[in-house]
Amino acid sequence: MRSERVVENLNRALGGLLDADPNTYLLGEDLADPYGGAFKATKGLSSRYPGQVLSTPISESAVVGVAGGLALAGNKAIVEVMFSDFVTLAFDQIVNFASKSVTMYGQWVPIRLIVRCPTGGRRGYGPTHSQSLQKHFMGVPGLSLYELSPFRDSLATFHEMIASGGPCLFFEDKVLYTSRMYLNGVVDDLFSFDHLDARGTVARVWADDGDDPDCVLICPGGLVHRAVSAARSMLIEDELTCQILVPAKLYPFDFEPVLPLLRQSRLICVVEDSTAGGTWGADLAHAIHGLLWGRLGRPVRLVHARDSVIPAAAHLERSVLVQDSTIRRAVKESLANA
Amino acid sequence: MHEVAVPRLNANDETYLLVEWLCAEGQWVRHGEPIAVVETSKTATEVTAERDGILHHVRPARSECRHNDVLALLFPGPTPYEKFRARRDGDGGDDEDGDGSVEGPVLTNSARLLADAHGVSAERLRNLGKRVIKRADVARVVRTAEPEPEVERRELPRNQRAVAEVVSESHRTIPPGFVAVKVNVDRALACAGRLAHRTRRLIGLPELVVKAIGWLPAQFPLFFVTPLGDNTVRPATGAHVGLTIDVGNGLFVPVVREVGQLGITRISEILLDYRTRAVQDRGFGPGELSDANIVLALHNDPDVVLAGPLVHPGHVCVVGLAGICQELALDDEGAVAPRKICNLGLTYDHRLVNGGDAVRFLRAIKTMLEAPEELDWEGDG
Repeated sequence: MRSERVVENLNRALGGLLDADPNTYLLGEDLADPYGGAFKATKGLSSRYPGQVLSTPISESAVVGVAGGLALAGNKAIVEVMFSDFVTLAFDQIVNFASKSVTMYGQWVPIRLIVRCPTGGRRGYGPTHSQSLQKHFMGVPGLSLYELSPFRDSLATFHEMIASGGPCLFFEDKVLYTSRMYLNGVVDDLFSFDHLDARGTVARVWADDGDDPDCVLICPGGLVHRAVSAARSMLIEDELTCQILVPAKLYPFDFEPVLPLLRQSRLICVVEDSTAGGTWGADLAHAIHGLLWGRLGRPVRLVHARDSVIPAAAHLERSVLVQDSTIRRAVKESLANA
Repeated sequence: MHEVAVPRLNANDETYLLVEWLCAEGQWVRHGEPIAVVETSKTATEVTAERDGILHHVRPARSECRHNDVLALLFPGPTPYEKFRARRDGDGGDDEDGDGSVEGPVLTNSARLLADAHGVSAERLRNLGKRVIKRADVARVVRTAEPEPEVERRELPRNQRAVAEVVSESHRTIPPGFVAVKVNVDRALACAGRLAHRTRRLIGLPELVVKAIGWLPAQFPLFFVTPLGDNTVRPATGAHVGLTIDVGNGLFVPVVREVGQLGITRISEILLDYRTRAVQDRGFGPGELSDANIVLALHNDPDVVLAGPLVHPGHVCVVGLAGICQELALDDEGAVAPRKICNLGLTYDHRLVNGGDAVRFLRAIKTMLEAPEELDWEGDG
């Protein structure tokens, strides 16, 4: 049986949430049928759950504000920001209202709010529709960050976010939408995957089991295809064994399931789509240095996009954003330095 | 034959799904006729025949395809189509050119190079039962495929195994430098003769060189230290000279301790004892073979011109004494006269000692051997 596309899985997960609880709301621009959202993640949902799926005016601050209010009143609210670049317009609602509401009422108050953020470039959408802004939401008390992964049923991730009782951002790489979910432990003819924890939070991709890996790449879901492609060429052309870790939850990060593997690797490399400076990857690297100090053979390597706005022209965009070749070059360079 | 490629249907999808074939394998289709349905993430589209012909399905229905993949072949008539089918069936399968499209292991590039070089079959590699085959895996196959011919093996004697260990360690860990000086030994030999006559002992050039080395620790302390690694050394307490003795029963390096405190008579007695025991193959006690901090390698057989022995691990240098040679040279009046010379070499750990130091060290010995009358060889200090 063919696996469903990631966006179909996402659509099914959203439908599942709406179906399970009538007090679940899905808000955002152009969500309603027949359009069904810019990336078709909500296709068919407004027809099936008309009172719960609402197209909104084009004001991210207002939409997230309403959703925060729904959550404060005991509902579950999911917002789709059409392009995550514009989540900056809702920054105040997320950081100063939703995240703080959990603790500012004299007792713990659940805020079951999920802000979905279609993220990332490689589609030629230019500087204001291609960014990866995860780093701007790091370290906000009460706020958790998750990312769409082709290795994990989105419904499981949604359940986890709702069960946390706090507001969450869910970053969804736009290129991932039309690719297929990975099933039954198979990535391709060479690579397999499994999960390092029972809940399936962290996926591990590997080809050559047995030897300790030369490198462990840690990357969010959006970078999976580039990381696998880099791992393939490193294996075939350089005989370097890479394993890839894909966490569904980016922040706060749970190191427990990944530490045994990190201990065995000659190099740890964190790959992310954002530009350098105060990033998720830098935060992870710092924590790994503290946890494995004395065991690491070399510093944790970071791979980012170039310090630039993201051009719309495909060839220029490629030169700015992380490619499989960027990852391979960085890993080989780090492994060459003793 | 015409190839029908998958058209570009959508800017965002990397792959499409071939949903179904609308025309059967071997069916005659007309230009413009829909032959297959391909689905993108957004919609389903018909792919049409770009000319008339007999249709061959390259891909099965429900399979994934990419832009520009060959979807179908169109043959102009039954004859080329049948020929194609016959050739294909004759090849017995779908892996027509062995490009790995059937299930099989993936070879790394360097594994493939090695496999090709040794003609390792795909089947052998498949039998390894591994999904990824690296160079080392192919190397193992090659080794087992070409077993080493049975040869008679004999182990080296114990003593030589110990030598092998020491010289390998030296070669691996000590970056050596080497320098040699020529010494006129006419006067040294005459002096040795007089000393031998007077003491009734066997005294020759080796005994003089051992004694000479005993005078050097004060002036050249670094040549007698023990390197401890990390650019540190343990200072020496005196000259403990190891002597290479090999009379055909294996190489031994017994030690003459505290040479600086021994007269030439005592030194000659010790050397004679060592040589005798080596000849009689009586062996040496462990205490006699350890604690040297410098070695004199005796290569003083006739016609040996030069010797560059290896520095023992734990030492800074080794002195090599070559054989005595006769040569013609101009004397002070410009007349040609014979003289006896000997080359004295020094191999040294270049991390601790430089070429200039080595030359000064050798010249100090040379000076003593060329003017031996001025020294108190029998004294014990």
